[in-house]
Amino acid sequence: MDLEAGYRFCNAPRFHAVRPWPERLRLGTGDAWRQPTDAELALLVAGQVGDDAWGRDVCVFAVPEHLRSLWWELVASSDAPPDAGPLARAFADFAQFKRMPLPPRCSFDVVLTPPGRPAAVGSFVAGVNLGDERTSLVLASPRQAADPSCPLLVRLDLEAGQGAWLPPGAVVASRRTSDRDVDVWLAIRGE
Amino acid sequence: MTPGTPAADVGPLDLLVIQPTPFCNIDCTYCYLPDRQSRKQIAPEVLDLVFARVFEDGLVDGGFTVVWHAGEPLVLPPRFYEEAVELAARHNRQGARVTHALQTNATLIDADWCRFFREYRVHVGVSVDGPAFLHDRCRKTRSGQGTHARVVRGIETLHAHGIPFHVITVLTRTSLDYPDELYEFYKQYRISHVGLNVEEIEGPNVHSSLQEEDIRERFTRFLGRFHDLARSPAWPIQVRELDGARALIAEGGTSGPPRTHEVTPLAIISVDCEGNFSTFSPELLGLESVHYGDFSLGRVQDVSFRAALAAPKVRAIAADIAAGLERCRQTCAYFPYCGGGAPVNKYFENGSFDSTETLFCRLNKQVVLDVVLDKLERPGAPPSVPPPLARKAEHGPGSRLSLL
Repeated sequence: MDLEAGYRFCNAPRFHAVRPWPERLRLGTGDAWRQPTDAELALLVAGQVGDDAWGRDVCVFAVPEHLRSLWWELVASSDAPPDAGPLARAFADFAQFKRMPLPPRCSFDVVLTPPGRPAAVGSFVAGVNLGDERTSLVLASPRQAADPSCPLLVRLDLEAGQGAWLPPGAVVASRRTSDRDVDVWLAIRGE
Repeated sequence: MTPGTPAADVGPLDLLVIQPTPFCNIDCTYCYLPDRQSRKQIAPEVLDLVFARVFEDGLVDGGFTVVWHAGEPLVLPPRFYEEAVELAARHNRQGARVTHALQTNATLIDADWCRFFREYRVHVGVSVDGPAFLHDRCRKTRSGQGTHARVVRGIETLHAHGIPFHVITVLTRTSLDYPDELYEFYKQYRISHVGLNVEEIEGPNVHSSLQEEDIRERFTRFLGRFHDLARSPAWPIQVRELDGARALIAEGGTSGPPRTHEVTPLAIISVDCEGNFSTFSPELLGLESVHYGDFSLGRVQDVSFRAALAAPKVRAIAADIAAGLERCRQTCAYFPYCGGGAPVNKYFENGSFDSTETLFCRLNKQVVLDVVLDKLERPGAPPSVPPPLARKAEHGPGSRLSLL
């Protein structure tokens, strides 16, 4: 498997790594996945990065538990689908503190996917797993396989509270969700 | 002077810091204490003299706190402290309120310690710098291993035995990016009383990671956010610095500037394991000075606390501290709420007690007061510091919910 130049994966600036990269990344074709080799990780993963990583690399971050809990409190406080406004405002405050490059105008969509159902993707600047189960982003590899007829996919596993900020060039092929519980995905889109 | 009452400009004793041993079982990178590998232990006869001097010198007015510190106190067994507490009580013929406290790295806490804490009503302070990724950067063993797991085990032991405690967290430059993560850590481990110490320049710690050009702005942003998190009803946290500033503001300066123990002779007395003692900032004891030799005023074996004040070195130190205090009074807008900066910070940052502003007071006093004032004047607003990225973010109306 030959990986050439493209975006990389990194821990977002001012965020710390929750899990090591070998546990978070998988390579494959969509049906079968494997752990990257050390050499592949060296090509896929950037070391410590500065603010220039935003918009260049896939920046992985984690929201604090009180932010994730806010969603569930909103759900518990309403019989109807809750207004995600408070969550959006809280996330915006958090993002502003962390100096995450929120677009000047953006929308916040909370997307719920029942277990076992395929998840909608769409385009987004960033996404956060607000659920309790793992969700995975499947991206077209930043690096072209030697054989273009077999595109390489990279699966980024995001545990509860983890999110990813995508560079413009990143293509999300699909999102894999849990079979056990509803998937709750906060998608942030620029307008 | 009436025996048993303090003179007007000396004391009364508020804090007696005793070093039971210099030894510490860990090796924090920012620690200013010397001789942390020394296993020396304070002798019972020296301890006896310490308490005798305290009460004989007429320094006690109402009560004081004994803090066991300046090495890891729990490396000595509970029995040592039980005897020390009883020794202090034997000298306390005037029935003063004497509180015993210790500041520990919590790595050695077990059920027997909890029994001691409960029986003797000891105030327990735990030193922990937040979640592991922050704590283990600086608070390590001598072999460079992190200590976080052992610390949280100690914290859980305290909880299991119902022992109340407060936490002191040292903030470094890295910490300032993680107010939410710090808050989550305190919430996770049911910590509700926190003191935030900035990484200070003292003695052998000649540099602080907070010595950066943008640090005031970063600290303001950190503290502003942490202020709001700490007031969350989900898990409210009493933050020593913020609560103190709030109290001062509420009091409105009507009683004059607060009495600063660190600039009042014999309000704080620090004693090392060999009987050497000092006053003013506790950190001074054991540190060297090109101006004064060292900061020891004498040994309890040789001289009383009060008599030591007459020595020329002590007079020189006291005069320089007083001069620095007067400069603060004349020049600093925050003086009515501060009462004068900590001498040890002035000396080791500015090279002289006769000086004014330090990194410590800019962050620990000025920014704290500014943030609290700002929050009182503009509740719910972010702190009034220009954001690092001059970008206007509009986040509405698009807060939609999609169901599949």
